[in-house]
Amino acid sequence: MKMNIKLTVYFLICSAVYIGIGAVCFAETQTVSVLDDFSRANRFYKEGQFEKAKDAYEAILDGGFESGPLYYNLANSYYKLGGLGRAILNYERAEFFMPQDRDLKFNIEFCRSLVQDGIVPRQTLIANLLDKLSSKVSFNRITFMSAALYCLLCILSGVYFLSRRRLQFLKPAIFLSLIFFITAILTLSPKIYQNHLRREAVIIVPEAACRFAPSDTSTTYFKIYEGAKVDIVAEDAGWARIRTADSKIGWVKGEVLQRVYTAFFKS
Amino acid sequence: MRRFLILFLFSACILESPCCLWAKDAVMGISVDKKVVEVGDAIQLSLSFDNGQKVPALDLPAINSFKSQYLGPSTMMSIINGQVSSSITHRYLLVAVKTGTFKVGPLAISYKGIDYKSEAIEIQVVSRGQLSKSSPGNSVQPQAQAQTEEELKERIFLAISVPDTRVYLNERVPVTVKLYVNQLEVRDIQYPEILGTGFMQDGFVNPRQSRQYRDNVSGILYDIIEFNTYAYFTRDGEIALGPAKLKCNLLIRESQRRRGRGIDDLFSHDFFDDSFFSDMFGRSRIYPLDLTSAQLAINVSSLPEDGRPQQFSGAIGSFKMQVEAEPRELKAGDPITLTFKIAGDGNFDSVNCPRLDSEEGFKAYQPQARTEDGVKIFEQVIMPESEKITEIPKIKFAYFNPQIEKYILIEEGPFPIRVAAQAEDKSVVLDASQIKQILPQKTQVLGRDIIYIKEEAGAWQKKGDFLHLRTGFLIFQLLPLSFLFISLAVGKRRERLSADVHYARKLRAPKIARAGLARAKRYLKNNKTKEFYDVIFKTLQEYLGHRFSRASAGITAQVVDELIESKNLDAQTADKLKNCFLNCDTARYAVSQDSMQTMQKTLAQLEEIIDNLERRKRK
Repeated sequence: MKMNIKLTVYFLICSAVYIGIGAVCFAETQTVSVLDDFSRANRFYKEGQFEKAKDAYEAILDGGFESGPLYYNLANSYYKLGGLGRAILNYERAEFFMPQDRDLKFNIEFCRSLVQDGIVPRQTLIANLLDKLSSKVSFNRITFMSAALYCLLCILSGVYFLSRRRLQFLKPAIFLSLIFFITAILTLSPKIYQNHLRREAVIIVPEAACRFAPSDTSTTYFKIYEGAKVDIVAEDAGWARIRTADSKIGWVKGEVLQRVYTAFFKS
Repeated sequence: MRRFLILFLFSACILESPCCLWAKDAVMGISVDKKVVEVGDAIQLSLSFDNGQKVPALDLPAINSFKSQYLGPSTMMSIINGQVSSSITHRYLLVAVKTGTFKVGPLAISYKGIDYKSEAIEIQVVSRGQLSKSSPGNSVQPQAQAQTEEELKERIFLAISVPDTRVYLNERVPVTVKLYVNQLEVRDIQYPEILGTGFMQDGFVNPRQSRQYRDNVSGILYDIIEFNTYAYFTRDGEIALGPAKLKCNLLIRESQRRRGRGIDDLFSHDFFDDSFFSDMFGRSRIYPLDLTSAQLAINVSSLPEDGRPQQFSGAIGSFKMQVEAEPRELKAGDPITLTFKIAGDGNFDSVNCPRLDSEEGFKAYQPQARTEDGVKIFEQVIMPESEKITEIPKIKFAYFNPQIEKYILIEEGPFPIRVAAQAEDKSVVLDASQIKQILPQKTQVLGRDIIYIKEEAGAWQKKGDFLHLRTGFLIFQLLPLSFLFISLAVGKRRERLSADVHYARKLRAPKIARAGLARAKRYLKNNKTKEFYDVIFKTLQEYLGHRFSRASAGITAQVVDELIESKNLDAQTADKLKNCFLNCDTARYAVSQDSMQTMQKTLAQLEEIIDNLERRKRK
């Protein structure tokens, strides 16, 4: 009994220290001036000055801050200015921060329906399931949850090994935290794949020629239209080798597309 | 009667006779596969006879500057709408022997009393190498590309056509885009795109379902693919239709060998030159083509005001109307469903629901429309308001027929009905499904736009500052892992200590030794000889007992020999050990007062023994 109390106290201290350090290290920054800028940009939008609104949202991004609603509003501004490609690009970025937002889902579906190619990508059952799972929470949240579950798993296992008589009541707790940890990792992995490995991009010009080779004189294989989402397979001297949703591969000029998750890559 | 029979038999003989064919087309078609040829190359001349499957091959007259050879006939029979037609084509090989422009024909043959005549065809023969420089069969050089494309225009081109260039506003105008290909391999043909403003167009019919055939154009035989659609002109005046644009790929052989059809080529045909092998070994390449047709000037007229019926609501084409009214026997206030079926050929978008001649005595609801397989169907619910109504008035539908350029008014009805009086005290109870059937559904067209901006800024974060990319976060993840490993190590050690007594005693031996040595030093300092040697002896006993897993109390000077032997201790350590035991025994059991120096020496010996044995353990 005495030992159990000692262990519980030990466990609580460990958790408190971990959460305390975490809170200090990863506290989110709220800046009053950014909020003012955001409100000003919203005012421009409401007054129908979409160009000014777009510039104001971009200025906040240039200032080094980002948020889901910021990308969402910027995408709305681009849409109103006729930039379908950039609108979809910024909706995609907003989805990263607020994947469950219904307005965002509606807008992104609406804009995708306006894209000329109308290609519906095929997905396997497992990929679809993982996609659905990962679209429930934002990237940072699922990262934090995974880390917390990992920490809990380590601490519980550590306490179990330390205890002289191997406290049996810890076993179900360890098993449960292991299950949750695996689920969190499964949720996180499609996002990591999508953001780090897949390298998604959106076409931002009305029409682009996709060629057989990275050269202006090369034969055009097919045309790709504004708003189409593609994967960057490789890059070479200002050209990008892309794969479309229907698995066609060709070269386009680098300036016709923009990556969705630029923050992760050193381009 | 007899005279009639003779007349009938005579007519039958006349009709059965092949001579009746002269009443049909007795033209002999003449075509060549190309009109420009190099000296020594061959062209294929085809003479075709429609409705004359048995016409024999014609002996070609000597044609200046060509050597001819008969290749053989090919026959074709087709059944279109139950009508059987047949044709025969005789093919000849003409080999050019000198340069210049030459005429072949006109040719003529008489068979079974029918005279077949062809037109003349002009062929240009150029010197060798002149064509092959820009032939698409060679690899395409950039400087020769323009010339190649110019020449290609004659071998592959696009044409747009309409039956009549004078049309009416909103008239359904069939538009045909034809792709002409002569002796070329074309792949990946895309749907054409018709450019221009002032008209709308339907989608193209799948070319696989439309016509693909061969035709002779200016003496050259072309493979033709037709793309059919309909256009509707939305403003009057002169409107440019087209140009039509089409994208396709031309398959070009990479082989540098000349691809002419000279006699030499025909006889030295390489088996591996076959397109199958060429494709298989990658000796062909794709050459993308953007074909553009000419524009068509369409003169669009407004519908005439003269003779326009009152009931006309914009329908253009040629239509028939069928009207059904159900039920015909009912009570006042009960619904009658009128079904109007408008069938025919024309712009169905311009067809509106026909109207009752008079709606007096009826309550009429908005009609609902749908289109099914070339029939536009309207359903309208009307209710007779009193039992005095005896018929549904005439229903009139007016349309403009652009073929005859006149308005046509079609009438149906009147339809007699029997309306009974509605019982006053009886109220009709309709359930929701009945009401839904009776009352027309108002379809609301929903607007489409994006959802408004967000007022709340959400959680801000520094751009690109993602948790998993922070070094601190990643290092922080090592803490729980370290804790886990330390716990695991401690747990394992503890487990071993409790399970393995020898290991535990061995670990305790140095501690015991250190404690004993400390006490001995204290006694030495206070010059307590007996206590000093007691502690030294006990420390030595306990250390050796733990170190070598023996009972401590049983270790005496006599046991040491056995220990030295079993543990292979070196001679120096063994001597010191024996000496130490001996000193202790002497001091403890013989009454003597050893000097401080002797005691210090014994202590030093003990320290050395323990040190040596610990070092040996580590080794």
